[in-house]
Amino acid sequence: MAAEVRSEDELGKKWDRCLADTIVKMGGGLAVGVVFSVFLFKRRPWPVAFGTGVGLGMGYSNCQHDFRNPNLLHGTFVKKIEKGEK
Amino acid sequence: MWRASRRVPSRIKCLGQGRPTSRAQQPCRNYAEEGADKSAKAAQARLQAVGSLPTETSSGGVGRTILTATLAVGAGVGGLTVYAKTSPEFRKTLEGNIPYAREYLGAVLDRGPKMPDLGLGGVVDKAKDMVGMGKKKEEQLGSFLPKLSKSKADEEEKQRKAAADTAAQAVSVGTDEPMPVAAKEPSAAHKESATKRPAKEKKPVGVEKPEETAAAAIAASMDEPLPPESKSEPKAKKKAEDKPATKKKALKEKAEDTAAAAVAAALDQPFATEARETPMRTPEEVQAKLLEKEIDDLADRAATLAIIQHELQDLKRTATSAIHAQEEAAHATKMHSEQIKHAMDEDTSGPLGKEEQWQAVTGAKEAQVDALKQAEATAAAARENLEKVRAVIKQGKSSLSEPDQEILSAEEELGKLAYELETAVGKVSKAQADAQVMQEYQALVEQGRKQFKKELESIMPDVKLGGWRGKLSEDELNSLIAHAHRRIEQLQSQLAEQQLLEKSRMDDALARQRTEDEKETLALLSRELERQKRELALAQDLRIAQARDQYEAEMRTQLRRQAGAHSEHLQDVLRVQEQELSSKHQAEMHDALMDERDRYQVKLNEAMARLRGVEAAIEGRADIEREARKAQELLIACETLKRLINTGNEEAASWEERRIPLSREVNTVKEAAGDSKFFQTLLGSVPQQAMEAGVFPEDSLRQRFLRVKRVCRRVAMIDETGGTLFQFFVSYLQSLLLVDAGRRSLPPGKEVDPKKLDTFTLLSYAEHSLENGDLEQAARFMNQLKGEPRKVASDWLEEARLTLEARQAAQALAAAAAAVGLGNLV
Repeated sequence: MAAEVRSEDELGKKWDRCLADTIVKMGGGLAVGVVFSVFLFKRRPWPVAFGTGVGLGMGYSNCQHDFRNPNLLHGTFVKKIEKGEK
Repeated sequence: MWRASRRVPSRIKCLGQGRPTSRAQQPCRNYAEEGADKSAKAAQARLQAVGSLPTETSSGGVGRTILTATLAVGAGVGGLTVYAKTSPEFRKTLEGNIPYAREYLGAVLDRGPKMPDLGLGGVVDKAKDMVGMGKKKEEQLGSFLPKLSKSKADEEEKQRKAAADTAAQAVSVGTDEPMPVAAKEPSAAHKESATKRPAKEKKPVGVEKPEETAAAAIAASMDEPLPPESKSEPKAKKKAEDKPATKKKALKEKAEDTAAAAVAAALDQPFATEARETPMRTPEEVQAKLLEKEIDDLADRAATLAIIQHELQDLKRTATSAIHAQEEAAHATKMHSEQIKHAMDEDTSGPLGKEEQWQAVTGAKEAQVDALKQAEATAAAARENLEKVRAVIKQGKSSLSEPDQEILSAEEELGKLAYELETAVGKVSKAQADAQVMQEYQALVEQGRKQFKKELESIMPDVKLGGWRGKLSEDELNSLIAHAHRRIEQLQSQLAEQQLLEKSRMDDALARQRTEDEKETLALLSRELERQKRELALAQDLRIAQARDQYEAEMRTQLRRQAGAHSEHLQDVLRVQEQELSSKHQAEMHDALMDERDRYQVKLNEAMARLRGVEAAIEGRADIEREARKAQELLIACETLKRLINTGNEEAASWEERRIPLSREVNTVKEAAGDSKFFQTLLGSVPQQAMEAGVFPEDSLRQRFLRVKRVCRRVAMIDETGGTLFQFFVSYLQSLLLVDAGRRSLPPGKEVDPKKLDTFTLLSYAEHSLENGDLEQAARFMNQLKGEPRKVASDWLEEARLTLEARQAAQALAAAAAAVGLGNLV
């Protein structure tokens, strides 16, 4: 992290992340559910709810995972680029 | 102000101007015209009040002005003329400044005896002044008093020379000019003022050279006026000699004027101003005075000489004329007597007849009478002149300090002339005596004749002697012859008697003649004696004069020598004295100078010593102060650091930005500290991060703590291993439910059991400590946190630790600096 994160703000940030992630997952799930509901299940409401639930669950799980192991870093893979290659 | 030109503004709408309007308006009051009229009338009234206008009386005014102007000019000119008449100086200024004033003033003022204007108008005036002054002076002086000091002899000489030239020129010019007017005028004037002559004789005009020229001029002038004045040269000389006195007077006057003019032209101011400052006897002035005296002597002598010469020549002329007259008289007498003798002795023989002879006799007698008269007159005049000259000479001799040779020669001439005159007179008397004899003889003859005639008449009363008219009768002839015979007898007897008595008579006559001769010889002798005496006296005087001159000259040279010697001596003495004095003075000066220098040196040394002391003190002081300053600087730097650590960046908006890097202040402190190891160590203890990033001040930590506390409370139940969401939620719930009963203060003096401390209490304690400003304690408390709260508060704690470190360092530094400063505080 480039910016210095204060320790007291860490949790807050964690929570923000968690929330954001959950919302995204829920949204995604909702979207899939809607799609499934529309296309596959004759517009029945249960895929939407199901998708949303799936999303929520996924988010929750992530949050939990994050909170349980706070020392785990979130890293990213950086592809090694050789000279000459773009 | 004339308002005629002002037009009524068009705004004013009124009746009478422009179109009549329906509005009710005032009638037009044309102020401009009214005003113009009024002011014109007023002006005219004023003029009339003041007076008549000029155009009415122009001619009268002009005439009046002309008249007044003429009167004024005339009055001015008249006043100037009158003033010029009274004041010669003013006249001179006028003549100098106004052209043609001289001619005008000459025409108006200069009537009466005056010399012809030779262009020396000023000179003549000066001459008259001089003459007046000279007269006064002569009356005052018996002998010479030292004349009053003059300015410079050289200037005078020059002036005199110049004036002499001009005078000579003027005189020569003057003699060429026709002087009948001038000469006649003096004579005319002098006839009136004959009594002034003796006074004028004593005129002492004094300049040497011009006097010679003056004398020459006088001679010339005396010659000149003769022809025009007398006009009688073709006539007999007696006419010219008839007025010798007046002529002499005239000439004298003229000559005096000329002399005065010539002389006064030379003399200028010196005699003009009599009142002088008292003579100061400086050597130059003494010499000048001597020179002056000499000059005066010479001048006076020359003056008297001139006069004497003049008189002499006058005298000579008169004397010669007198002598001539005497000779003529003598000759005439002789002639007369001869004629008588001739007439007596020879009756009819000779070229002339008896009657003619007797006529010749009478003629001669007449001539003799005339000649005698003339001779007497001339002799008298000559004698008068002689006396005059003698008097002049005597006076001149008495007035001069020593008789001049020329005076003596003049005397000589005088004597000679007197002698000649006397001899001539003697001759005349001798001739007269002879004539007397002849006359006696003639008388006797006459007597005889008369007797004869009477006798004849008694005898023959009708016959007149000499009148042999016709023939006489015999009786008459006989009686005549008888008478004649009787007479002859008588005469013969008389003759015999005479012859007898001849001897006695001859003796008598001889005696008489002897006595006469004696008288004559006595007279002659006395004359000769006188002459001899005179000559001797003259010679003596001459010798005396010569001797005196010689002695005078010798004395002068001796005096001069003495004066020279004296002055030399004085000079020597003065020089010696000067040297002495100067050497003394030098020595004194040197001493004084040395003294002064020494004193000054001492003072200077004193001052220098003091100065050095002061310098040393100052330098010491400077050192001390430098140290003090350094200490102060150090102190200041440390204090700044401390303050910075305490307050941080005051301009920061929020507590987050109140960090300020301490590097600058630390560097300042480092510089101020210098080489002190102690300080270096202390400075080294400041954490690097604090230097780079800065530290939070306590306030910001306090503020930050609030958040930290909140978060810590929320995660109070979660430990290091992390927790599930559920645990998080429960912990959060717990924090909500646990009421913060305020900041719990640690009971004083009581020990704290670390095992009983939980998050909340710890947080509470910490907060309390923070509230009390005790960051260290708060840090201690926070350090006791465990689990997740610890993680949350770790940063805060770190920061607090940094701050504490920095603060500790700063405090140490400040204390040290203060100690140093205090140590240097004198």
